[in-house]
Amino acid sequence: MRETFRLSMAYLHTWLGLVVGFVLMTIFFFGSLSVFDREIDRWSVPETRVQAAPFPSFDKSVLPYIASVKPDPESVEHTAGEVIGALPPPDKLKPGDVTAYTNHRDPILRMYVAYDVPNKPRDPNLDHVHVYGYASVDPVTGKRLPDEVQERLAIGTGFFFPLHFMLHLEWMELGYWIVGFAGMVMLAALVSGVVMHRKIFRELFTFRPGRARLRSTLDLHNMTGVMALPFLFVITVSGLLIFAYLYLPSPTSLMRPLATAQQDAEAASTGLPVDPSGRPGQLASVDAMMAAAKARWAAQGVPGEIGTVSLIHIGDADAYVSISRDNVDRVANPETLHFKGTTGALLYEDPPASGIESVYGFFYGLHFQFFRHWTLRWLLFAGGLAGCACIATGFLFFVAKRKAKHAAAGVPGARIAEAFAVASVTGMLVATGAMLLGNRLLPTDLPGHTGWQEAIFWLSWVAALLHAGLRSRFGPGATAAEGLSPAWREQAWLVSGLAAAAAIANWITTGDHIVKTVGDGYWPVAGLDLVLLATSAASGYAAIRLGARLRSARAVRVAERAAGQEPAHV
Amino acid sequence: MSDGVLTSFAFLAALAGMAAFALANPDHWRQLFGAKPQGQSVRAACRLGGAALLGISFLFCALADPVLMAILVWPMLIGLAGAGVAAFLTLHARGRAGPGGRTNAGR
Repeated sequence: MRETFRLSMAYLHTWLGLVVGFVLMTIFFFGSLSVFDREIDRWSVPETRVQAAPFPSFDKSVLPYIASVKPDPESVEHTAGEVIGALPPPDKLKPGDVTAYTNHRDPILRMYVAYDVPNKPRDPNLDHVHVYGYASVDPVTGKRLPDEVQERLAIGTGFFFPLHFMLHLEWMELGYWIVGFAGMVMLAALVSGVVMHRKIFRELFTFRPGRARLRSTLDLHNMTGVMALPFLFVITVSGLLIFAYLYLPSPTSLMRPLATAQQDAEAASTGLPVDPSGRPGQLASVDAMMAAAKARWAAQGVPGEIGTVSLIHIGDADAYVSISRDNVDRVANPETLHFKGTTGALLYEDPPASGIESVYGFFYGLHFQFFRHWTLRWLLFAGGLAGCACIATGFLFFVAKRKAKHAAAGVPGARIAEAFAVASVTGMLVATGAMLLGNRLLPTDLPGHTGWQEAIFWLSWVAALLHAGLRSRFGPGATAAEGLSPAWREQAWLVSGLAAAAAIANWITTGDHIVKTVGDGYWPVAGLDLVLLATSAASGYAAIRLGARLRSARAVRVAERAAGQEPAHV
Repeated sequence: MSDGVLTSFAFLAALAGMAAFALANPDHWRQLFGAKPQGQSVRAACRLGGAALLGISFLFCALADPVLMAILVWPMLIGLAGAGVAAFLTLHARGRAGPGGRTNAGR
């Protein structure tokens, strides 16, 4: 019974891992990069390479720009599809709310304006449909950044980050669902992986690189999986929780009347109106409210830089201002202070989180990582890469175990699996390196600059898959080392070249070479350049080792043939 | 004492704890001490010492950071320490086998 259960778990682990592993690689790799998304933004938009600064004056650096923000065309198009009837022209839309936010890692104050829409939504479960417009402010000068810089693709927050949770598949929210399914599979794979390996904890510290490739690959798979097990489990659960509202929408659909009643009850008890009164009101100084908030935090003995300020119901007598601090000292988001817009009086302070809210806030916070803890940030980055290593070695084990058998039987299964494995490991790095290089080399005045960068990413990835498919080969009689697709080595060389080229291109196009950025202590750029150079060195080393292994295996095979022996199958 | 120093101590304690757990395994014991016998009491002491050191590691984490932050840092440090111990055992086995030699370490 026990062995049957173990075999069932092994079957589940193998096949679910193979089918969804490619998606999981994407999620974990770009999730790992997203740990440093703001830093990647600095690298990819050199005009924003300044030191992070505290939240500037709201009265002088946010309010004056609200009128100049325009509804975003993509947002207009998206909202037009959600409502009944034609939307009013964008220039007739009235701003309802504005939110501005920054944090200790971001030298840009980002703001978005939510425009009220008079149309009724098509989906009765949707309420308060808005059109959004965006702007960015330099917190040091308090000046709005030019549209050209604001609209430039910030690769960290604008591309890698959403890639890891929705794969840029927006149609029918397909990407979110695929990622959610992959997350559930990851949990099943973690549990089944622990069950199926009899000696998983006994062999926790065991890595035998000198043994046959199957054994050493499995050692590495087990070791990365078990060492990072708590991280892999918690990060997957927290990712699923963040989108639980999408996967389990009952609170906003089936329980809609209850949710609406709860919203109204909360509005009544907190004094924070859901809807504007319709009466005009003069806004008091938001800066004074920010000062009051900081004084309150100082009295409580907590770090007190402003993180987010929202002005709700702009121009209305019932307007209110919500202020949250930059969450540097704790995992979960801190409580928010709410002030009456017309008087600046404190209306309401969020109470300490309940038990359920605390658990949710902890999971949410550990996934978004707003805190200031660089050691933990790097450890989480390493945990994500350990997850990638675990998945990649799982692929390698699957392929190595079956390749000789499939080749002898003339079945292409292992070849296809290996082509996808190459594309999802080195191919993904090729696409990332090509995109970063493209970011530095494409002229910023090129029409469709963002689209070109994205196209470089996707086309490079498809090209890597095609290359892997064409180069994957394994004939009867070949050794395992010879049978390893040459695409691994070739793409490893390509990764090495692209990573080094991206760092050099950054130097040439901006003057920010590694010695300068390290000397200046400008770590957002220095860190990414160092990671690029380390990636280049590691990939080059891997390519050299793969080449040596291939030559050695061929030499053995030639010697065996000369001696009249059958080559050994591994 | 600065948070960085406390976190470093937490890592060192985790490293020592994971090393003790590795030594509780007869294969790794033989790998390091050869034919020297490992009694039941030594194995139990290694396990107990390993658990205690991991506990001390958590205390250092909790001194460096708020507890809810420490419970994130701690398992990550343990994972890193475990990888460090595994790397040491692998390199040690390779060193004993000589250049290019195959090893039966951890068999």
